[in-house]
Amino acid sequence: MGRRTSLGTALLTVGALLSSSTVAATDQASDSGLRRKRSTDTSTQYKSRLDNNRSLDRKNQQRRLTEESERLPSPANNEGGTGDVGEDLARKFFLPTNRQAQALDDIDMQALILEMNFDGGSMSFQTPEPTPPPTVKPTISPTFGTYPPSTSTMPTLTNCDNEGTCENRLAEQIMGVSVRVGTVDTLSDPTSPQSQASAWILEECNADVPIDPCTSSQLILNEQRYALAVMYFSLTGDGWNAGSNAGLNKDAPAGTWMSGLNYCDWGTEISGANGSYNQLVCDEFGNVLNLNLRKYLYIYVGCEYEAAVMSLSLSLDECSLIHILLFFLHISSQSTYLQSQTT
Amino acid sequence: MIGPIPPEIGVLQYMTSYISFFNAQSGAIPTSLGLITPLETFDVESNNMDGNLFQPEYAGADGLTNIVNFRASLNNFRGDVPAEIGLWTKLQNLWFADNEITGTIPAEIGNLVDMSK
Repeated sequence: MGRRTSLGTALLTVGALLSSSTVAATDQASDSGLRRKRSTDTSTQYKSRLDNNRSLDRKNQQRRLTEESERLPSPANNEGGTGDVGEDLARKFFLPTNRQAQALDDIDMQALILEMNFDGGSMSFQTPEPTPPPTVKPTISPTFGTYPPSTSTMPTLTNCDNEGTCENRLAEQIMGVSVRVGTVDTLSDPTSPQSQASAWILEECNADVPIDPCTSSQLILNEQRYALAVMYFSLTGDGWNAGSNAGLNKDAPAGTWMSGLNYCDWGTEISGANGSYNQLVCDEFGNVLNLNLRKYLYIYVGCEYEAAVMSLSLSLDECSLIHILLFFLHISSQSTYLQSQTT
Repeated sequence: MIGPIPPEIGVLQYMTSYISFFNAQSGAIPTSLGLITPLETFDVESNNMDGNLFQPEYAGADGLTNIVNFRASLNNFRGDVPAEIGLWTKLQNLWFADNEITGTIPAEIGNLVDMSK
């Protein structure tokens, strides 16, 4: 155990000495690195300031080594004694002699780093190779458009410069969406909301103002347009605006679902006793922010019909009795309807 | 409004509010709901929906971490309330009365310091 302790002590001593040298070198490297960042410095200014600091750095190096050697226990005072073979070996092969220490001391680390990094008057530091700047957008290989149709579930990528590829491009997008949300299988069922929405949006390639399947900023909007269409077909959207569905009529007024190129205009403005809201709200980029398809009733308020959110907080104004009567009439009709559906 | 909410709702990835209470929506909540990370309000109260109410795709660590209002009362939802509900730290309204939820309320619900209802 004693031997092992003595050998460990010696190795720790060596480690401390080497660590001290490393710290000194690191300090200098850090110092150099800090100065490296000052891009406004000229090479001449840099050299001049370096020369001025050399003598001070050398003194600091010597002082650090002296302090470390003083901290090191003397071999004669070691617990294992001078006869410890491990310690002797360590001293012989690891500890620098006075001459070696002096040689290390004479090395001007800063100058060495400068020589390594200074190249013909221009600052040439050893930094990782710069990453090439990104291209503006990914380039689609022109060979994509020549791919023959395949039986793969993945649609063929198309070149938007070719005529007749709008449908393929949209189909590609729809497939991507279906993979993402896990509805690929539904596309093979022609009655599924996904298939209906797909057929509907593909038709828009031939509309008066055809859908744009190529512009990168438009692609994400096309995806949302398709998603809204799927929701429309899945959730009996014909009832979202009293059964109106203007199809591909580009002149359809705002508030008509599934009409016109801008789906942000599809939502109906609903006003009622509890304020108003729009069924569909987009941000300035055309992304869907709010989808509000709550059930609302047409009730009689203030002698005029208007749409209102179904609410039990009806005010007791002069028409409150009519409100309540109409409310119960509606519930009754709904109940009758549901009973007829179940039977 | 009758029928299931399709998984394509997850494509509306910028949506902050989906409100469809007092309807006849059926089926489960699509797991793709978890793709809508900005979602703050999800209100399907009083429909005919079923399936597990809290699914890990949207109620887990990578789920609806911005959700403020999650209203699902008056449906036929099942399952228990997972401990991950404690990750919905912005939650203010959590409504799931009149369902078939089982199990115990996890202690992590104590993390929801903004909850009011």
